[in-house]
Amino acid sequence: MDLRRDGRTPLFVLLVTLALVLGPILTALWFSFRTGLPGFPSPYTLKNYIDALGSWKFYGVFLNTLGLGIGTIITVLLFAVPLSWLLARTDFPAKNFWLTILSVEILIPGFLKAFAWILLLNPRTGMINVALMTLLGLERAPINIYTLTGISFIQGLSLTPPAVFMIISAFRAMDISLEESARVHGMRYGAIARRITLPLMMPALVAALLYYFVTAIETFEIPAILGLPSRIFVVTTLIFESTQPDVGLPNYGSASSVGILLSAFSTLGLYFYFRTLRRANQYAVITGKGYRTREIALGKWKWAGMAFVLFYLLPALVLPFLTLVWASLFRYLQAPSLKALSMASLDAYTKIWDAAGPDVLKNTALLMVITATLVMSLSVLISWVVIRTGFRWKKALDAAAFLPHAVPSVVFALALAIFALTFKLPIYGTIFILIFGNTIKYLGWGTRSVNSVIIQIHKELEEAGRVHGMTRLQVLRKIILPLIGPSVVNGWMWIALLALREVTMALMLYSTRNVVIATQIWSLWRADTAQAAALGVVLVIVIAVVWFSARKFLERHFVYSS
Amino acid sequence: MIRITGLVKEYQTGQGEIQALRGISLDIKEGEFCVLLGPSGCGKTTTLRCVAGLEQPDAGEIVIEGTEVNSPQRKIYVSPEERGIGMIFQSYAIWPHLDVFQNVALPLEYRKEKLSRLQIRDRVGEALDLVRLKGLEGRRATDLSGGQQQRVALARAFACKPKVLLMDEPLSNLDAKLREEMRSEIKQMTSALGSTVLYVTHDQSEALVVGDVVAVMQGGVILQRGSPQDLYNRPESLEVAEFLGEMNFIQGRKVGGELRGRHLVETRLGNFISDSAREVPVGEAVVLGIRPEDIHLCGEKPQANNAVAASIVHRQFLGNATMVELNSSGIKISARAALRSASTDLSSGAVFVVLDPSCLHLFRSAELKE
Repeated sequence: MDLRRDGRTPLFVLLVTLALVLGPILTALWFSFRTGLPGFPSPYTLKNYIDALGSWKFYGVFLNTLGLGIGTIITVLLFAVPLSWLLARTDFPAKNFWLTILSVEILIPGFLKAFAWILLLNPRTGMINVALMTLLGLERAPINIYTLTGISFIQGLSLTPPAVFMIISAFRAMDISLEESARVHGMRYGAIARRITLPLMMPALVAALLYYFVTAIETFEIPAILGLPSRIFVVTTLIFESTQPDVGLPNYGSASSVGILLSAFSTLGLYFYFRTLRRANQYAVITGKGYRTREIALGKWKWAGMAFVLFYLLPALVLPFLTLVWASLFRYLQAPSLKALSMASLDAYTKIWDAAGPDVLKNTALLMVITATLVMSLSVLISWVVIRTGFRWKKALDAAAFLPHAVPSVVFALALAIFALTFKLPIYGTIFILIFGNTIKYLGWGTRSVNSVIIQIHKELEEAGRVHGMTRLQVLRKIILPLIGPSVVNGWMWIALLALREVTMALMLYSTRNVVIATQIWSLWRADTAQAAALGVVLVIVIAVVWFSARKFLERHFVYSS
Repeated sequence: MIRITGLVKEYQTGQGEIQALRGISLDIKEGEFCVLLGPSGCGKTTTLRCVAGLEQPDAGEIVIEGTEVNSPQRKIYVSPEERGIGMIFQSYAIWPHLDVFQNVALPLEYRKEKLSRLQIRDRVGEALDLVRLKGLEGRRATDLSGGQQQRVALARAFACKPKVLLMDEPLSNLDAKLREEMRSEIKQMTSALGSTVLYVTHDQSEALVVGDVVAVMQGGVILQRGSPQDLYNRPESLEVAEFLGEMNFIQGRKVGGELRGRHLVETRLGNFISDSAREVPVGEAVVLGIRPEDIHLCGEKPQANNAVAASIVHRQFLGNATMVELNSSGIKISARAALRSASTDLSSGAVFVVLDPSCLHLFRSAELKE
């Protein structure tokens, strides 16, 4: 367990991680006790916290944020639980197909869906609203998307796919013989669901809901698009507003203090998440025999299940995508009709190279490739130290790698801006500050996924290398890396695509020199909706094609790891 | 008590259709302890799950205590909760969110005959008493050891007062010492209660110890069914002989003797006499089989029939016996010699092997594996 045995590598990995993660966060914490602009002298003060906690506006925003969190998880609960049950426990047809659709949906940017829903449901010209008004002879639009309910619903739709994957793994971890033993001893389906399945699933469900509550109050893009037009603020949009106000100077100190409060609140949420998760893991029994989970035969109810899947996919995926396609065809948005279709043009697509010029493409490519490479390299090193060495501070290293998860993107971007401005780093305003931010942001995801892969590799495979004369680093290079290779490539693809869809940090750290496709769509939206929609359509298609072919490639070429 | 007739079950897999059961028939009398024994994948667990109702056969019938519970032909399927059975799962299936008392009591709350709270408490107390878990009622299931979980599973099944008790490899997750302890306890408890038991295992010594009747399965069929003594002493086929204990095989041809009773068999090692009761016509290719413990070793050429010279290749001291590996004209023979003879006669390399005619098994199949 001493440092000599493991060499210097673990300590080096720890120091790099701490510097990357804690540097910006501590700078933001420090700056929350100051006023003025970073890089200029100013006195220490509690003014930022007193101002925030002493104003009614802050409490209003806080209540909105809570409302958004609760509204989101209600939506998630409504969709994700039945979907997970259908896809994990029943004989629903083509389950793998639906799961792939859901995994692609995770990669489709939330802001595109929000834009599409504005076109459908804004109170003046929203296509559904107009149609309903004409149809029912209403004077006013029946549905307004610019409300907290609207934001929560769209946000909930977006968070449903990852929640489905989380809940499905909980369903799969449950030993099926726990239900079978109830059946053979005389209990019926209803009683089993009430007395066995539900209590056993409860911790995992609560954990998932806590996790997505935290995620919901940390997100920015959907509340910004749907909330700012009607001045409905949540904490993340409030922070954005303070750093990029319509009038006056940015107030980094005030933004930092609110950001620190939000981070503290999410950390608390994640703490309860981990506590609940531990309970859930106690219930997950490893069974002796891999008896295949018996699927519940849906019979005639298959159609009801299919209807439910469409009931989810229609508003979450199909309708927004079709809306974007429709909007991309017209210089000025038309209500859907055959007559309108005759005026459609593909202008926006022919001009797509003007909208996403060489600089934007170059920035985007750099962001994707460098971020994914850095995240996966760091993750492999960190996970290897955490899981395979006797390094004394490996728990601290694991926590440090996960910490960015607890800090909302908005806050982390803010911290990064202050960090760069304070220390006058030349990366400010370039694509590299975005790469830096994305790398740290996805480090939590990367280490979680590599951890779970390394754990599965039997320790003796490594030990066999060591006793036959290989050093630790040689073992890592020659044994572990080849074994985890497919998973690492898979993770690389995933992070590259997540960086492609990331817009929050890109907006917070926006400058004319670091425009990427996501921010380009965002800024084009108001000026040229058709062009923005066309770019969005192309983006979605590229994401889907890249993800499908990557999966196919990995499945074909690497058999020993899934 | 349980009557299984012509059970067939097919599975769809990636490689096509697999016949897990190809016509299983089995009769289990009231109070009988019946063991299904076989290697993994032989269909024993599938048979058990069909009896439980957790799996539906494609053809065949199952009758439990005179009630037809499965008959695909006549569209009869009684669901598991209606069958009045008790079952022990390989993973024990102890509900982790409940304590010991609740684990046993929960199914009783949903029995068809409505039990009062007091009756339930008595039944649970009785069952926990039987499995010697009294005093642990409030213990959380997740805090129990493997052996204790096993006992809770037993108590839960007993408390339901089932018509038949099904056990699916109940001992495979325990360590060796506890396994031996539990298998004799299970045997004692079930015979004290007079339960009818269907028990699945892949462990031959476990099957011989607990079973009144053992059915050896392979490839979805029952090869032989009988008492443990029957199966060990009179295996009907090479597969059964190989699966239960060890046996030496010598290929040969019957050259003389009656149809049954006394056979003269010609082999590469010379002629042998077997007293097997099997009917074999003269001229047929046969396989002789003998268990290591039925082989006698002598230092000098004996007067008896069935003696052949051999050289010792290897000796393995086991404590209460010595395993001796011999070679006779290129044929490997293992013998199990009692301790005394091992120390005296076996020091020299050359010995004589005597195969007792009454212990020399005769099989008609000439397809010796290896």
